[in-house]
This record gives sequence, structure tokens and C-alpha cells, in this order.
Amino acid sequence: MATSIAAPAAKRTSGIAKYFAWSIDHKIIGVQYMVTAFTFFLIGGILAELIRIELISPEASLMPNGAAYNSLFTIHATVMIFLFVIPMLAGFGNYVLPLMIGAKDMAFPWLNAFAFWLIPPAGLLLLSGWLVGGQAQAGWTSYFPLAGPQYSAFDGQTLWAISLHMLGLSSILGAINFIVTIRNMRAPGMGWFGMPLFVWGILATSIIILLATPFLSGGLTLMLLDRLAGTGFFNPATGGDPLLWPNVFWFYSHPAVYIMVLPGMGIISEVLPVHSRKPVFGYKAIAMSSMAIALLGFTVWGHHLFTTLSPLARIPFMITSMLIAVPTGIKVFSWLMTMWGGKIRFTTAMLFAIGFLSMFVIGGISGVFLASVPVDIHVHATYFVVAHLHFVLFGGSVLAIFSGIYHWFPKITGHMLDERLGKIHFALTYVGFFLTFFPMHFLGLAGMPRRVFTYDPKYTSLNVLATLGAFTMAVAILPFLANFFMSVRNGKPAGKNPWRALTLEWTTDSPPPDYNFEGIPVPAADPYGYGTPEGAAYLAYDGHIPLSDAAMTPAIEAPTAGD
Amino acid sequence: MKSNRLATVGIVGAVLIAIGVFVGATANVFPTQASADAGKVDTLFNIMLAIATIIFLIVEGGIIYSIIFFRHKKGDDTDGPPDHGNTALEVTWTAIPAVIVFVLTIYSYQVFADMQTPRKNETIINVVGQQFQWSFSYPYEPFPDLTADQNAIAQSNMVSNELHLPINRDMRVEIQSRDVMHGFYIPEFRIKQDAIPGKTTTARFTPTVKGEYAVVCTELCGQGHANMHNPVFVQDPADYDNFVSTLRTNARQAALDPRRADRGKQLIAQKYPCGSCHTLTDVGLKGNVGPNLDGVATRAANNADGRLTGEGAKDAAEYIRISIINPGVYLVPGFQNLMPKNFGDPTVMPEDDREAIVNYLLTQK
Repeated sequence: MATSIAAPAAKRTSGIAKYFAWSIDHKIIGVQYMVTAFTFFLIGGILAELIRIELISPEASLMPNGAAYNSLFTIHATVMIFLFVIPMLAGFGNYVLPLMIGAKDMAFPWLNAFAFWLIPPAGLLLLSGWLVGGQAQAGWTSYFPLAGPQYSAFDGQTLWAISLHMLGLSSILGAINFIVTIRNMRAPGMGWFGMPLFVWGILATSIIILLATPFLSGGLTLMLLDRLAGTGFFNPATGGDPLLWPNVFWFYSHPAVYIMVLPGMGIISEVLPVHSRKPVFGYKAIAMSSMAIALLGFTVWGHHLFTTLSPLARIPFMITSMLIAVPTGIKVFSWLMTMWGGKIRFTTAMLFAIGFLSMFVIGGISGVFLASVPVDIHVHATYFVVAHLHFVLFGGSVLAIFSGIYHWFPKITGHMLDERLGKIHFALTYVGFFLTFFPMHFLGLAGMPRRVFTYDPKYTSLNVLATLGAFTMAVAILPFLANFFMSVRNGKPAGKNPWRALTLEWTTDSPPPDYNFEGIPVPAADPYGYGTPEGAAYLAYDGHIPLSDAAMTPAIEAPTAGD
Repeated sequence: MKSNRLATVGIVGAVLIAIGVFVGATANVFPTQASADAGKVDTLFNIMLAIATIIFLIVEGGIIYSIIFFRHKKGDDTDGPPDHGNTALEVTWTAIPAVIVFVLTIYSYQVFADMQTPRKNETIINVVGQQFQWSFSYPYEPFPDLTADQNAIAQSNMVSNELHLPINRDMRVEIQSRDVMHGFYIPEFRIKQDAIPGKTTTARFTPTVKGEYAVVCTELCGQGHANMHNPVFVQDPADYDNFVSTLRTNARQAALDPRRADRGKQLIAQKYPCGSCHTLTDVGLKGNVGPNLDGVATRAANNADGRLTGEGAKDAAEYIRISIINPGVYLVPGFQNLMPKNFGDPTVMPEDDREAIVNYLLTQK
């Protein structure tokens, strides 16, 4: 490993140029992931604003026809899921995870870079659908026969499938890399239950990706064959089955929800204890509930098809979908008890983490309603589902991502973000988010279907409210962008450990050197040992990396080697 | 000290439960309950809402309490207590939600089983979804004086794009799709069932409140998806019978002289989804996706550019006919080739229907 990272160090370019070039340093790749993903977040956000502008009035206004509107939400969802949330969290994993476990890089640095470089062309391919005379417009779910050659006879849908194929491959390669890195490259002394919870989150996610994403790839291959080679896997006229696609699709895409949420939960599990100055409550329960969610997540896909599957087939999916609320609840209560009795510092990272906790719980609860077949029959494919999924993916993943950005920005850049701008960003995002998506529960319960660009005027007032919320969120991003560009070079110097955290990434320089650590770092006996003598002793090394082969005598007991 | 804490927990718990029950009992988030099962679904939802409210308040209350009482004090650089967990607490918050979802699963199953149970003497209406309209075929009894062929034609004309339902009668809809997936949804009935190409799916309901509602499509079906809704009339049995007998009279006329122009007008209005894309003032169609059909006969007759000559369109009738069967042959400038391509299939549009429509459109000068 040492030889392979020596190369980029030798021809290291100054400034930001290195981020635009091929690099096999996990930290550069991590930043490449995050900046690319965030760019797509802005693109997806613009599409969302266009959707909300159209929906401010019940009749057609901004969009000339349904086809244009259908493309908007199809690409909004695809961009946000495949080009923002998933690669953004992979970016966090890339940057933070090797540092957290005391490794010098990922296990397969070249593969790591390759996985990243699949993303920008895939993204451009997806967006170029607008240039080829017909953007994909069958929804991100792309059900057949609508997405088939007969009803979507334009190239955008084909580009959509090719783009997702590339992104799926990128995901799979990244997952293999994470699993091997976590398994093999932990610093001596870090056992499985000495791993920070973010590492557990990435591990659970990577297992899901490795097992589920091949189903997406297989489904996309069949879709491409149907579209380009005249096969009929999904065409009932030639003996195919249109229900094959939604089953294969959701067999990937429901676990994909956990792919998008578990690393976010990992971020929250790091941020809450550090800024509450208290050990994480129920470490093993949180770690194991991630694994339980990963496992159960493979058994619930049919709840997306409660109005599609035969009635009897819906029952097992109701049972598993109800059950998955239990490990999710364990996490929520554990996080709450982590804050309880702590000495909470209201940093922006902490505010976003609290925001996550308070909003994600709503998405979790509405998920139980959707797991109940009779209730779901009424609200399926209505705005209730739109509300639910945004409470999970925005209230959950996106708030967690922002929390992680404010938490690790000092480590990545060596500079602090401005807290005042950060708090403005948080307040506007939080209020705007709630205003946008909370009213949608009531729209759905009243019967407003999703994916429509004109609607019954009786739904107007709540839609106006939602659009105002969306405008608030658009404004909210401005202080963040300003903060980012001001602080990335001129922010207050961060030092090694501005939050006085106990995980390994904070024991090295900010930003870390190419080789991450001088020598082999010694993990804290407990990465969340706040308030314990061991934790205090470990923190006392602030500014000095405890080395396993160093002459100093640590105040803590010498850790035993991992597995 | 310990009993004090217990008392606090008891009081807070009682208040939360009271609020939860109040919210569940008074929530009014649904449209009219217009079917026999709607009340059961709403009650299930409201009970879930009561439980959800309690859990929501516990979590949000805990967050707010922590924010207020566990904030870091200036100058205090110490950490909080090294509290790593509490097995009893963790078992509790695993077990209680597990019991709750177990009970909710059984309760949901019972409501669902009730909704699915076949009733005696169901009246069956066949529903067909196609881009971008629903059509409904009503029960048919053969006319003894007509031939088998004529009866077949008459039966195929027991169709309307309005769903008329007699109040308090047990109904069953058999749902099919002609093209892509659609979703059959009547919010006031709490009923939703996908229409799947190549399959027949079923939904049951008993309408209980007179009024006008809508069947809304809930499965994205293409660019006219938002326009895909048809009226539902829950009415007295006598009114329903009137509607069906009018349909039956028209069906008989159709069987005797299937290609009449006025029948074509009726087919455009009632059976085929022309209005989701086209405007045609004579029928009251207001679609804005495809070309306006007002005066189509004149334009077809002019055929000034000889646009269909190569396809053998020798007259206006042939031009209209080709445009129905194969709409891509000549595209009106400014419009895309979006019209369904399956109207040449006699199982989708019988030849008599097509000719009746051609004859009718020829009157639109």
C-alpha cells in the first residue's frame, strides 16, 4: 500500500487542480465524490423548484404539457437518489472511514478512483436526455410497459437505463472496497465493537449494495434488451410479465432506501455524542439494529406494490414492513437518550443532527401507516407517499449529510465553517423543509395523486404552502454556499480536533497528510468514552498522535489486537 | 425519590395518552366516507394516529426537554455522565414497539380481509384503463330478437366513460388495461387497485352515499396521466336502472346499424379516450395535447398538400381512417406522434366503431 500512495504524493499538484485529475488518494476521491454529488444536488434542487412552481396553481402553467413535467420529476428523483445521496454518502465514507479506522487508504485505491470516475459521465449521460429529443419521463421507477419501446419511443429512456447501469457498477465497486477495507485495515486494537458507528453504517450499507444492486443491473439489462434488441421480458403480448420489472426494481430500490439512510444514521451517531459530550447510548444496539435493518430490508419490497400484487401476496410484506419499524425505533430512542443528560453544544452540526432526529421520526412513523395494507391502499401513490419519502430522505439523509458536512469540514479543509451563517442555513432549511413536505400528508389523505401537473382546485392552498416552503429551501442554500466559499480558505483554523472528539480521524492533522497518520495510530478504548477517565486521558493527547510503537506510556491500558 | 420519578412518568404518560386519544378521535383528514368499508379504514388509521401521536410527542418532547435542560453552560468544559446504556430501558423500547406493530398487523389484516371478502350477488362492472381515460362496461342481457353477431356488437356497446353505481349495492369491478399500467382509485371509497396489462384485477366496494366522485388514475401512465379521471355517480337504483336501459337502447341501435355517424359521436364521447388529448367542440372535448378536431372534415377533404396520397388516401374518409389506425403516417405540424398506436387492432377498436367514428368526423366541417 505504501508504494501505491507514494506516486500521487510525488507529483502532487497544488491548489484545487488535483481534485480535477485522476487520483488514488481516498481523501481526494472523497472530496471528488462530495463536490460532484453536491453539484448534482443543486441540479436536482433546481428541478424540484420547477416542479413546485408548476404546482403552485392547479392548472398547467410553467410546463407546456404532461410530458415535460413527467421528465422533471423523473430526473429530479433519479439525480437526487443516484447522483446526490448515494455518492455523497460514499464520499463521506471515502474520506472519513479510512481515517476513522486508522488506515492509510482504502483497500483498493485504483478501484476506488475508477468507481468515482464512472459517476460524472453517467450524470452527464442522464442529463443529456433533454438534448436527444425526449428525456426519460416514466418516473424514476420506470414501470413497464410505459418505459418500454412502444410507449417511450425516445432515446432519453435508454440513456436513463445506461446511466443507472454505470452508477450501479460504481456503487458495487465502492461497496466491495468498503467491506474489504473495514474487514482488513482496521488499526491494531480496533475490534468489531470498537468501530465507530459510522463505520457500522457504511458496513451495513455496503453489504446491502453488494447484494441488492446486481438486481438493479439485471433489471436494467433486461430493460435495455427490451428497448434495443426487441426482446419482450416485460411485454405481456410476447409472454413477458410487466410485473417482473417492479418486483426486480423494488428488490433493489427498497434496500436502496437503507443505502441512503444507514450512513446518514452513522453520521448522526457520530455527531450526537461528540456535541452532547456523552457516550452514545446503546452502542451495540445501534450497531446491530443497522445490521437488522440491512437484513429485514430485503424482505419488504412488496409494500411498494400493495395495490399491484395479488391480495394474499401482500400479507407477508405487511408483516416484515411493520417489523422493520422496531430496529428503527431502537435507534431513535438511543439517540434521544444520548442527548439526555448531556452538555449539549448547539453547533450547526448538532442542530442538523437534532433536526434529523425530530424530522426522521415523522418519516418513520408515517412508514408504519404505509405498512398497513388497508391504509396504504388509500394513500398509495398519493402525496402522502411523497411526504413520507421526503421525511425519510430529506428529513433523514439530507439533514444528516449537512450535519456531516459541518462536522467534518474542519477536518477536510483545516478551516472552520462560520457558525452564524451555518445557523441561518439550518433554520431556513428546517422551516422550509417542514413547510414543503408536512402539508403533503394531508394532500395525500385527501386523495391527491402524485406525479400530476394539474390537479383539483380543492388542493390549491396546501400546494401553495408547499411551494413557499420550497422557495425557502432555495434561499437556504445561499448562506451555505457563501459560507463554504468563504471558509474553505479563510475560515478560522480548525486544529486537529476542534470538537474534542475521540475517534481516530481527529488525532491527525487537518487536513490529514497524504499518508493520514505518522505511524500506526492507537484507537481509543471506547470511541465514545466521554466523561470517562479513559476518554479524558485519550483526549489529553490532543495534538499528539498516540503511536503504538511510540515510547510514551499511554494512560490507558494497551488495547488488544482486533479479531 | 424513586416514587417521585414514577409519579412523574405516570402523569406525563397519562397526559400523552390523553392527547393521543384526543387527536385520534377528532382527526378529520379524509374525504367523505362513501363506501361501506371506508369507515373501517378510517378507524384503523385514526387508532394508528393516536399511537403515532404518543410516540411522536415522546420523541419531540424528549428533544425539546434536552435542548432546554441539557444545554452546555458557559465555562463548563466537562463532559456529561458516562452513561453507556440501560438494558432494561433498551428492552422496553424494543418490546413495546414490537407489541404495537404486532397488534397493528393483525388488526390491519382483519380490515383487509373484510374488504376482500366476496359478497353474495355482486354486480359486476368491467373497467378498462387506457391512455388516458377509463371506460366502464355494464351488465348485459342478450336481446332475443337479435342474432348472435348483433348481440355481440350490442354488448360491446354497453360502455360508458361514466361510472354509475346504485347506492347500497355490492359492486365488483374487474379491471383491465389496454396499454400501460394504470391505478383505479376512488378516494371516497378508500379503494385503489392497479390495472395491469395482460391481467384482470378486482376491487370490491359498496357505495353508501349518493353524490358525484371521480375515478382517478394513480399509476403514472404517460403525459396525459393528470387528466385521467372519470366521473362516478352514486345514485338511487331507479336512476341507475334508467342509465343502464338508455345504454341498452343505444347498444341495440348500434347493433342494428353500427356505422351511423351519431353512434360515432357517442363512441367518441363515451367509449374512447379522444377527449384526453383532442378538442372537439361538438362533443365537448377539451384536450390540448393533440390537434384540434373542429373542422377536421374540411381539412381532410382539402388535402391540399397531398400528404397522404402516397399512402392511398384518396378521400377525406380514408385520410381520417389512416390517421386513426396509424397516426404517425401524417403528423400535423407542431405535434408529436403520441396517439395510441393500437386502434387498428379490432379487439381494441372494432371496425364498426372505427367506421362510425369516421362517418361522424366527416360531419365536422
